[in-house]
Amino acid sequence: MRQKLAIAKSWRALRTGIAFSVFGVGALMLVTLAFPVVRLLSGTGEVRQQRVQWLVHRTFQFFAWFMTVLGLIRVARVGMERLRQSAPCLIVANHPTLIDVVLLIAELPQADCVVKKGLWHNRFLRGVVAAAGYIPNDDGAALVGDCAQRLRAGRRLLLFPEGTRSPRGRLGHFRRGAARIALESGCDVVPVVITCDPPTLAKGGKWYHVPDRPAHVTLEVQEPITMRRYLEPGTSPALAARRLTEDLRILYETKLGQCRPQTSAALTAAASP
Amino acid sequence: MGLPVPTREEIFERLKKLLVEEFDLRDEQVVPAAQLAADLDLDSVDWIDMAVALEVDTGLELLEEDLSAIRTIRDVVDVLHGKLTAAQP
Repeated sequence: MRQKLAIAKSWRALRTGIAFSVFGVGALMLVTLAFPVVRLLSGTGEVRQQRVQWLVHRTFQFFAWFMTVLGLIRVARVGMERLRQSAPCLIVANHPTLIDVVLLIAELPQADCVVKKGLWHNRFLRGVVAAAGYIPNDDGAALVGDCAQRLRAGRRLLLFPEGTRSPRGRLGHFRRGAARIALESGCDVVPVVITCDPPTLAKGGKWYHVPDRPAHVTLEVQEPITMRRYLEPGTSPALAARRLTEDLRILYETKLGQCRPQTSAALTAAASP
Repeated sequence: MGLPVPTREEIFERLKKLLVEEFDLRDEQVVPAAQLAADLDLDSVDWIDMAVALEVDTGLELLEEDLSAIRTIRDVVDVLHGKLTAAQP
């Protein structure tokens, strides 16, 4: 029995390695073959960026399907209709696994993404993040201004408030950048709560540390949060950002079963149409 | 003859009031030795907001080199006191 489990685990590790290889090769093919064609056919920088983002979206749709076919993940999607709205919005999510960003972008034909600055030095992904116009998460004030401007221009933005993958079994610290961006732009925040069971490709884990069974990943899109309750006259931007960040954290802790005694009446009210 | 320069204690009290009201900090958190980032969780955008609020409150212009040397509440008080003193005719 133990031997059977070991064989099954090795087989899953091999499939995970295949998935990583396909991802890396796919990224290089996008950069060397697909993006030059897009550059040739596209006019302004913004049009080119949006076409690249659409290509990334379609590629990630394929990759999500591929990982499912390989038996590595099972995905449940709840409330996706809230992502189909046409209005610009800031989409935020917790980040329990490396694959959640792939699954999210697979649902978003257009999304500017705030990503780790280190990806610009990753040989497989630097071409993709640059061509897609993704934003490095390194400069506070300039980042907020750039992101708010993109939202006001009608685009959608994806950002992980933790800034990195969650520590095992809990949420990381929520930075206030997401709140700042939402408040400066006035756009709704759409929270997506992500779970991954068992933990897979989590922070600190190696790619070959695979679980005994496929990871069940759930993406649950919450009601949009409007900014009007946080933008009351007399409330400083710093204070509004702290309140919104705290409310987001409470939402995630509640949904992930890491409840705290206090609830936020403002969050409940802000989620009302 | 201009107005007397506020003492460091007066500047500290005004700074504390600003941080408590505008940054949701607790009174007991704001002590001279408190580090802005590590103890008070002020990020880079908060620093800019703080600088703007201080400029509005004091009438002083805070330059990037003024902010770059600041690590603690005491540093902020020292910078403000120094600039207020220098601004005296």
